[in-house]
Amino acid sequence: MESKTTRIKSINASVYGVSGSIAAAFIACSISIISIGILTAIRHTFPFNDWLVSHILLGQYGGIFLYSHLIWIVSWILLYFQLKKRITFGNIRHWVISFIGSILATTLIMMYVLNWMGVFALFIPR
Amino acid sequence: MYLINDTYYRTKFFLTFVLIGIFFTSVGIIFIGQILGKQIEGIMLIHDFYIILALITGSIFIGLLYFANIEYQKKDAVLLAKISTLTALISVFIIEITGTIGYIEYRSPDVDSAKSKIKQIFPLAHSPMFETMEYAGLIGTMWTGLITYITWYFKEKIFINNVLKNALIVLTFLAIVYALFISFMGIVPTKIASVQG
Repeated sequence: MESKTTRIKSINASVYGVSGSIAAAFIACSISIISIGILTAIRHTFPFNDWLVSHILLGQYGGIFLYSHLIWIVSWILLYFQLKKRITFGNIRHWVISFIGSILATTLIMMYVLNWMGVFALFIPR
Repeated sequence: MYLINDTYYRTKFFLTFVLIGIFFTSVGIIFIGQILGKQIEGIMLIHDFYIILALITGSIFIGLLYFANIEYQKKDAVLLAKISTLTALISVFIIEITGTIGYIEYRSPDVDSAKSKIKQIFPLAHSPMFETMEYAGLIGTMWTGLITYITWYFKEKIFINNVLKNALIVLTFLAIVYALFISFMGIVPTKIASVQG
């Protein structure tokens, strides 16, 4: 029983501070998620309105799909090789909070760009 | 409370059975769509089927993290966690690909296209609702990919370490809530005019 408790405690201590490869996964995801928000915001401005059209049938959506996934994969590979030797690089709580922060930021950018404020304004009594 | 079976081989058998069932259901939907000459409807049914599957596997994963008895059923729990996260990741990829195919039909310049009808009847259903679904839906791949990577990387530690377990529960729970929110953005335009071939 005692040896099991010691083993679990040691796992707790080692997992709380995560390795570089896990940090790389979190950072790459956050970067690509933020990029979706930014690309959505600039999709109608010149020259991005042309650059983002990867296929004529998909319009700018195709470019946002393609480039956000490319950013995710490339940044993950680069960060993985940069950080894989780090035994600890931040802790899981901080990475989860920063990841949720990136989703929140992208959602707010989208809500602003896609004119959700106009929808909310309909519910404000005059 | 034991959520999973007490023998590793029985768990493997049930997982194989379920995965074969998912495969044949998908093939069956496409086959029926081809026979009836309703290819795009078949693709959109696949799209809906995998949305439900991703939500179910996410819920199973949370239940597994809460209730799995890691002391006696470590192999079963780890296997089920790995397969459920991988199933969710593959589902999200299929959702995005089928959604993109549907989007091509949706944004057709024809006067009979779903986009044209929606813009005439209720413009808000196109922008912001449908556009939010399309762009925000892209986050799903990264989100599910991250949960899958953490699960496959830490294996049994996701059940032992409480910090890690809670982090995964929070990430999965928020992913399900976000997916439901995005799905609602798609339900409203579909009720007005669905994508049809």
